[in-house]
Amino acid sequence: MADFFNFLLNGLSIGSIYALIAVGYTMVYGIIKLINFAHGEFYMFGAFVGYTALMFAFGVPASGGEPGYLPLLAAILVAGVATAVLAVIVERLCYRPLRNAGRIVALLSALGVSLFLQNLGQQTVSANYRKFPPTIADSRFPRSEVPLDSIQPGDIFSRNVILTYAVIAEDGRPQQRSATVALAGEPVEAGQLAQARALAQNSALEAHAYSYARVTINNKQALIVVTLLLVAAGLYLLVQHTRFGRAMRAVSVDFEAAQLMGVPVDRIISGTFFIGAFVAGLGGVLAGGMYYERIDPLMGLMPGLKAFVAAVLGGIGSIPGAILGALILGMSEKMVEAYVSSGLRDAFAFGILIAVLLVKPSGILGRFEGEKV
Amino acid sequence: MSAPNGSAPVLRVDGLDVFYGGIQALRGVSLDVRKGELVTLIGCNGAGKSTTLKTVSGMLKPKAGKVVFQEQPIEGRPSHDIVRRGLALCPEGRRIFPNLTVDENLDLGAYIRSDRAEIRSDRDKMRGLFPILAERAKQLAGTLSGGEQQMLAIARALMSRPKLLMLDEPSLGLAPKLVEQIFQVLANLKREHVTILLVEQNARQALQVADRGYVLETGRIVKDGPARALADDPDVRKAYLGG
Repeated sequence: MADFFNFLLNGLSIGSIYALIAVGYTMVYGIIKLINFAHGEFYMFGAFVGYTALMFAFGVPASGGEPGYLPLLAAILVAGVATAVLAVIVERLCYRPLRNAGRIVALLSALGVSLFLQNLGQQTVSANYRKFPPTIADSRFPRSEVPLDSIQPGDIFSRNVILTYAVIAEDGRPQQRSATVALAGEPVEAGQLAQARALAQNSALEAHAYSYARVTINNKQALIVVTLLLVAAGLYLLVQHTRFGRAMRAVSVDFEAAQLMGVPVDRIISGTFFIGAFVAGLGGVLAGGMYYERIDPLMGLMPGLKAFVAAVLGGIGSIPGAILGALILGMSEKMVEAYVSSGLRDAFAFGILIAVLLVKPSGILGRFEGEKV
Repeated sequence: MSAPNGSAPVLRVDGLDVFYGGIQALRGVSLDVRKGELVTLIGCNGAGKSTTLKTVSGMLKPKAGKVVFQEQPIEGRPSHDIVRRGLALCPEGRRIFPNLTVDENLDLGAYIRSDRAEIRSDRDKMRGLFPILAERAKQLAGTLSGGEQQMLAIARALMSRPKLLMLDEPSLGLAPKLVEQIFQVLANLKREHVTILLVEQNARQALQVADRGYVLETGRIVKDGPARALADDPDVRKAYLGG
C-alpha cells in the first residue's frame, strides 16, 4: 500500500511538470485557437537558459556546498523571462502574419518553429546530453534524524536507516551519496555500522543518518508541486480578477468585439504568449534541470506532446482543465509504469489522447460553446 | 443637408468606397453627424449600412474616401484606437461576451478608461437606465435573453463615454414589445444629448426618433434630409414604410 502512495506522489510531481507546460498550450489555444507545437521547445529553451545562468552567472560554488535555493530561484526567473521574450518574438514573426490565413497554416508554422528550434539547438549547443549543474541537495521527507553515535550493533529499527554523505567528484565539487546503515526489522551489523561511521567522518559535507517514513516525497518533487500551486493561484487571480484577464477572456470569445471595446488585441495575445512561455521556461529549469539534471535540444519533445495530451484531456482552452488533465495523466502514467509495464507508459498516454478525441473531444472541463443568437 | 448649427460635424464621412474582395459594397458614401444629433441610416438588407459603420469603426479599411472624427482623419486606424478617440460601435448581433458576467461586460466597455470611481458611478447609471442589468449583475451574459443582451450591448458601448455612439440594428430579431423598449431607450439617450448614428431596417421607428436620415441603396446614398421629410417622401414611403 505504501508503494501505491509513493507511486501516486511520484506521478503527482510528473503530472505537475506536464501541467507547467500544458497551461501555456491551453492559454494560447484559448485565445487564438492555435496548437502551438513549439511550446515544448520553450520548455527546452528555458532549461538551457537556466543552465547558462547557473554555469556562468550565478556560479556554482567551487569550494563546496550546494548552490542552494537562491541561485536556483534566480536561474528560474531569468529563464522564465528569456523564454517569454522568445515566445513573444516567435508569435510576432511566425504566427501573427498568418492570423487570417486559417488555422491549418498557423499550425504548420508552429510545427516549423518547433523543428527549427530543435535543430538550431543541435547545431549550436550540440545534440549531446549535458549534465545540469547541481542545484539543491536531494532529500526525502517525512524523515527523522538518527544520531549515528547513538546506534549500537544489534539495535533493531522499524524503518530503514540511511546515511546521507558526500564525496568530492571528478569536477572538484561535492556530490551527494547515500548508504544503508540498518534495514528495517534487522539487527544492525557491526561492520556496516563501522563503515557508515567512516563514510560520515570523511564526508565532504555534513553527513546525517535518517529513518524515513513509508510514504515520502522528494524535496525536488515537492518544490515542483508547490511551484505548480503558486502558478495556478497566480493564473487564477490574473484571469479572473485583473483587467488583463478580463480582456483575455473577451478576446478568446470574440476578438472583434473586444477590439470595439478598445482592447488592443495584439498586445493581449503577446501577453498571453509571454505568460504561457514564462511558466514553460521555469518548468524547464525545475524539471529538466533541477529534477532530471539532464538537458538536450530534444528534451522538450516528449514533455511537450504529453502536455498537449493533458490539455486535450482536461479540455483545451481551459486552464483548470489543463492542470487537472496533466495531474491525471502523470499519475495514471506512473501507475501503468509501476503495475503494468514501463514500456507501455507512453503508449498509454497517447492512447488517452485517441480515446478522448473519440469519446469526448471537448475534454473533462471543456465546454462546447454554442452561440445564442 | 443643412446643419442645425454652424459648428463642425462630430463625424464626417466623405466619398467612401469599400470592397469585399472584388465586390464593391460602398460607392462614394458621404454623410455627417453633428453634436447632439440622432442621425439614422436606413436601407434594405445588403444596402451597405453595416459596412458603413464597420468602416467608420475601423473594422474595415476603405479603398477610397475619408472618415473625419472630431476633425481628425481616422480611416484605416485600428478599432481599438478609434474607440479611444470617443467613437463607440454597438455591433450588429449584440456581440456581448457570453462567458463574462454582466458586470464584467460593462467593465470591458470601460476598458479604455482608468477613472475607477467614475466607472463605478457610470455602472450605477446604466443600472438605472436598464434595471435588468442590476438584477443580473453577477450572471453570465450568455444566459440573458435576446432583449436583455441588447440592453447590455448598448450599456456596454455607453460605458466608454463615447462622443458618438453608433448602433447597428439594435432592434433586429427582437419581439415587438422589446423593439418599442429599445426605441424608448434611444429617445431617452437623445434627450440626454448623446450623439447617435443609428442603422436600422425598421425605417418607420428609426425616422420617428431621428433628427435626420440618410437612405442607402446598393452602396449609394440616394436621399437625405430631416427625418420628418423623409418619412413623408413618397419614394421612401413606398420602399421602406409599406406605402
